[in-house]
Amino acid sequence: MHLIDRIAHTSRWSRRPTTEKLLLCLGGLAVCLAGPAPFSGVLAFAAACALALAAARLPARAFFGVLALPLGFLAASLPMLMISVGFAPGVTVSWRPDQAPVAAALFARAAGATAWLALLILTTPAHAMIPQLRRIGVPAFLVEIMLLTYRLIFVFAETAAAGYHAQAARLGHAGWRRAVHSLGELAAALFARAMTRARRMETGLAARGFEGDLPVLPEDDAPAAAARLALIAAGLLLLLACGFAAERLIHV
Amino acid sequence: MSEPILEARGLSYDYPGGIAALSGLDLTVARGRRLAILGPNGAGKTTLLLHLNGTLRPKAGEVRLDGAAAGYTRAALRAWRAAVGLVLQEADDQLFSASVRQDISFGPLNLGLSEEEARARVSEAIAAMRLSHVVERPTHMLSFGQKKRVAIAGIVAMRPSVIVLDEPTAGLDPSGERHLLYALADLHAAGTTLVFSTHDIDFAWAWADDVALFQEGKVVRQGTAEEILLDAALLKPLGLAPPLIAEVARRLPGYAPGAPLPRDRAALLARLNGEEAR
Ligand SMILES: Nc1ncnc2c1ncn2[C@@H]1O[C@H](COP(=O)(O)OP(=O)(O)OP(=O)(O)O)[C@@H](O)[C@H]1O
Ligand SMILES: [Mg+2]
Repeated sequence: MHLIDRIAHTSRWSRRPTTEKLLLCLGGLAVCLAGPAPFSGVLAFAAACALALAAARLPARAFFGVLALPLGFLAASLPMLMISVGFAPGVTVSWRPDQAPVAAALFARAAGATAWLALLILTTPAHAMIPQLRRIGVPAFLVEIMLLTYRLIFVFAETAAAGYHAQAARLGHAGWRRAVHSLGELAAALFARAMTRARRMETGLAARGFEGDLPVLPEDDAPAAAARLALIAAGLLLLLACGFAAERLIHV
Repeated sequence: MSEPILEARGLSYDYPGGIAALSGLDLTVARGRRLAILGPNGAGKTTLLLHLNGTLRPKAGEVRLDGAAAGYTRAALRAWRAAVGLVLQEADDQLFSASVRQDISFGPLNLGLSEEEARARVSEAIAAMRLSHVVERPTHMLSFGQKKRVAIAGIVAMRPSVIVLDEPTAGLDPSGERHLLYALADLHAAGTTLVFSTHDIDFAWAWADDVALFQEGKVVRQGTAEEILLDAALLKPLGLAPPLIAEVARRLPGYAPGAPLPRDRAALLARLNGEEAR
């Protein structure tokens, strides 16, 4: 979470208009899901990686690190798709190599989709992305809560880390049983602290006229250029077309 | 003294559980001046400051704003908080947004300003608190001192006549403190009345025009910084002694009783060098 956030704020694309990044990445995701199965997935994955590494200059380790976890889970569950279980008359388990293309198609799609999402979250800070939700009709109070939660994650992570180090300094984490016990106490202490903190934050916000809403100015996004949006759309269509072309060529 | 902008008369307050925090306290904040509320830990400084913007409501006594008793209706509180800004000790208690600009815009928007006006106020507050080099960073990537200045900027953007700060320099290193004090000096020069709590007598001496000496829920004495902080007999029962810089300057050869004393290190050093040159 911290790493993702840090990169989102410091990457070369951080200050690009959010609208452009949303169109590009959600568009890439759509191409990957709408195009012919394995081809579009592979192409979309390659395109997202190329953009992430060459254009946005994301650190490769971080980018693939973000991909590794979901894709690792997916890869681990693929063999399940190639096993078929029958229940009549007894229980039979059979290996179905003919299911391999289905599994491959699924994996390619998921990999492509994950790569586009990774590109989005690693280039767009949450506080720039969340207000965009207003545009698609998410109610203001939900957006406000999300922004507040995003900020509080870091406040509490800091408190939790400090509490953990304070316990460790007094050997609270030496040995398994003591560690479990200490973590329980830390959780209880954090809850109490969260409550006091919430009360104090209410005081702080009330001093600035808080009466239930959290109005803020929208981020000064660089305005999205129509030409660039058109270029992005064209690129996405090209990617989709390549998917269909690849399907043709390889099937023939 | 100029006319009072904010006063507390006979203020008493108990926390739930019967802990008496304020007992019959009087305080006067003069317009355009810097008032230090000086007292030890647990004396009730924070509790008092929370009364000065209507966050806490006294059990007895009243707070007077511009000569009239302050009310606690929604509308009265709104006007009160537009006039008196409160900066809490812990910046994290005040910052709710990960974006510096968004956070600072909150107060101005609550005042009912248009987006355009709010934007202007935000830029103005960022310049006033010398934050322009960090505005692009998210709040959680700022230093303690920078977060503190963002928290103050959130109040400055509302342009209150009085800014109340709870232990503004607590936890700041010398450079963080200097940055903060320069920014506060600008605000003061522009006419803002400043009230701050502290337990640091040297800081109070360097910074305050007036001092209220605080002990066990009461203001023992209020007066100009010279009247209070140079009175060793008054300070002694509180375990305090006059500020070191004033003590040294008073002992310099050639000091004429009643002449103004240096308030900070630089002024003292200048005086010492002047002595040597002579
Ligand atoms: N939320 C609370 N509930 C109960 N008692 C409290 C609460 N906050 C403060 N007190 C008590 O009220 C008294 C005054 O506290 P206050 O925080 O106003 O002191 P302070 O002068 O600001 O101290 P410090 O220099 O430590 O910040 C103390 O005895 C304290 O224990
Ligand atoms: Mg306090």
